[in-house]
Amino acid sequence: MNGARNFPICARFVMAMTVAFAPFSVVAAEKEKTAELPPPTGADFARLQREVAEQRQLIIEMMRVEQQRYDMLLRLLQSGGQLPPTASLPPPVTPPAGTTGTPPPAGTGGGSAVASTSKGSGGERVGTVSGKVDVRNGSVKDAYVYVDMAKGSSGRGHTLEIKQKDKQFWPQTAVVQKGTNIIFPNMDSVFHNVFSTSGRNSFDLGSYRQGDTPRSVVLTTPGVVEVFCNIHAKMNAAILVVPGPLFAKVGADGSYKIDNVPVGARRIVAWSPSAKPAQQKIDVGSGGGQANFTLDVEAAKAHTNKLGQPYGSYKE
Amino acid sequence: MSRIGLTLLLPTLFSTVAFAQALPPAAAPAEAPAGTEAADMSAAAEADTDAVLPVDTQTQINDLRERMLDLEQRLDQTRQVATARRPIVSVSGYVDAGFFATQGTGAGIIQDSGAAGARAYPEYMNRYGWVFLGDILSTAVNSRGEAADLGEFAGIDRFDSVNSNGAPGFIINEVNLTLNAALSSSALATASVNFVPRSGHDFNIGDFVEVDIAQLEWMATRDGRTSIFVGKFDSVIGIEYRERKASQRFGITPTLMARYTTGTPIGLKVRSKFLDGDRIVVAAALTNGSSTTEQFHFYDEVDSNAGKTASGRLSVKPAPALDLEIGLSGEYGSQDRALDSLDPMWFWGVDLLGHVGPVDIKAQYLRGRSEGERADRVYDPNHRPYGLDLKNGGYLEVDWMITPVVGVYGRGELRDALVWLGNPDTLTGTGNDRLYITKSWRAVGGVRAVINEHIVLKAEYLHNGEYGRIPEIANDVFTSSLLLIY
Repeated sequence: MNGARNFPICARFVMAMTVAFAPFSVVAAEKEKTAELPPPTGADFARLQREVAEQRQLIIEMMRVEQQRYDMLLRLLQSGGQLPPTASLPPPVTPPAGTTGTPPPAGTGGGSAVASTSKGSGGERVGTVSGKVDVRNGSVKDAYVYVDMAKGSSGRGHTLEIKQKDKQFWPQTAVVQKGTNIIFPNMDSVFHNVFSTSGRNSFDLGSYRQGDTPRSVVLTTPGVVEVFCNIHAKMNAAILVVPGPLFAKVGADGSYKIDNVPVGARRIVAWSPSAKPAQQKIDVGSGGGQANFTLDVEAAKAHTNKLGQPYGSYKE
Repeated sequence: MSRIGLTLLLPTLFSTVAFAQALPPAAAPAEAPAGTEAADMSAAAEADTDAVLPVDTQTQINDLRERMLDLEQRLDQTRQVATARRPIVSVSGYVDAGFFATQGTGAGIIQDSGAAGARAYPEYMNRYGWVFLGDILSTAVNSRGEAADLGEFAGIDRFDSVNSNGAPGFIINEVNLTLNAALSSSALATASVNFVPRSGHDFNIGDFVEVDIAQLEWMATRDGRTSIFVGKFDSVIGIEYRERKASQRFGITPTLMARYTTGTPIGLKVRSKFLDGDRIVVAAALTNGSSTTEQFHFYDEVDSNAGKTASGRLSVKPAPALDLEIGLSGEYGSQDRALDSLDPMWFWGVDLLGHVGPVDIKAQYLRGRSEGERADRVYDPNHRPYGLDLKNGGYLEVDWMITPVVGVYGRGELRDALVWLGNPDTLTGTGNDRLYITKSWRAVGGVRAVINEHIVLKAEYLHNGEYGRIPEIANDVFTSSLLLIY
């Protein structure tokens, strides 16, 4: 164990709490200011959302780290001062494959640790969920299956780049863990204004063009985030924010496989941006579980601009 | 592990265990529906379930959690307030200011007069009271297409809005105000009004207001790919209507074809997009008059005859890999300004629009005809229809944004047309009859600088050339534009 790991735990905890409380003081100061300010803008929302997201992630991370640290200390005590070979401080979280801009290949979990053992890295019993996804009333470009309510590390600290090029988003579909930072570089010489009105993941990045510093947003709430450009109506992307690392892209043959799913009753969801989501609850045993889905393709729906107005039709 | 480290850790550990024994186990979180904030909290609580924490830490975490919930609730409430306060009407527009300089008098035409031997077109001598050579709108100084000067000709009274007499000068080209109101999620009302400050005379201030667009667009289908327009709207002929406004145009001046295609007639319009990527677009309109502009000889804001004008355009994107659109458009209806619907006026043309990276390519070819006055009919002096024979007209434009800030463009144009008032077979050289003979070509070059999304600077040079028997006219134009977009 290195010197940093010997740093007193209480001191680390104080540091963690200091970091955790810091945004609150900022929020309190902002609260006083907003009493005299005009109605909130998109930027205010984004800032407030970032603060909430940071708070949430700090608490979750802090609790997770502390829990693992206590576990380690207990094991240390039980082993009479000798750490077992596998024991270590919580490893850094590895980004899921989907956060690289390329969705994870079919048959692999979106998480970092994919193993076909009956126990997860935390020692809990896990299984593999697999199945097939059929599509009705059309075809879909991309489909994903994920385990809802999955406990695991957030995507905090991870980034995904969605480019704006040739008046389109690239990629147009992505799956990320909550807490992932999405960066939207503009590769076009024209201005774009990326925004979303998807509930708690809503944001408005304002207008910028090629050469300007790319703007970004942290998506903190599980769910589908529809992303548009306020200037070009045809630009659209769909991002699925999943609660944990347990997801997989559906292969060309419709099959999928998610490893390391903790045993127990789990809700499995199949999703595609152009279809109605399908879900089912299954019991995952150590032998795994099976969930097959049929996705109904939905007709495309017109969307409005960031003010809730239909786009003027001739401006593109 | 070193002995010192173990010595430091053990007391902490024992105190932790002691605190843990004093604490009741944390309650298991209730499962929350997917995609809700409760899912986050539940996940946090799940992570917390097995943790054994000192009591003060637990209290602090609970306090933090409570404050976070308060913060989230405040965020939700603020969002609701903001959504409720969202204005139903959004306001946009621009101020277009410029400086221009012209050759000669700023007029694009000269009179073909004098003895037969001195005339370019002696065959029209004694057939029209006035014969003009050139293109009256060729000396455009702004996106409105206003000519620097319409010329001073005895007996001809025109509304010469710029009337520069060849002097260089500053000009406020247009102040535009556009209002968009969402009447529902599928209905949008738009009004675009231009305020145009011009020199007055005879104690008249000269400024005028022009309602440019007043339309309701209803997206009739759920996918938004079929729109129905009612009111005063953009035409469906060609492609230049899409960028007829100064804030949309890459350069400054309209083409020599714009007068036929960028008017905003009143009526009903339908447009539908088909196939993936809108590879086929069909538009059709039924309007009072043609798609000509109001400042040209042919336009009926409110129709003076019962015959309406039907127009349409079909566009195809031949290959998904190519960002290329090819269109065919045309219109047919009663000739504008006539009191009867006996004689037709028509246009047809093809167009092309392509994008290759930062380069846009635009091209259009157009032909058209209006009969004008017939020899066997008597016309109301206030409703005399002009005749038109647009033999050939077209342009090719290339726009290139070299960097996100700086762009250059070039355009080549041609217009071969006759426009006349009166019929020489019945009225020989007397009265108000006139003929415009145009055989013009134009080369346009310019540069634009997009300072930011609100400020655009443009500068443009137009070389107007004549061919055939028309002598060269000194009618080149330099013009510039500062656009302040809001």
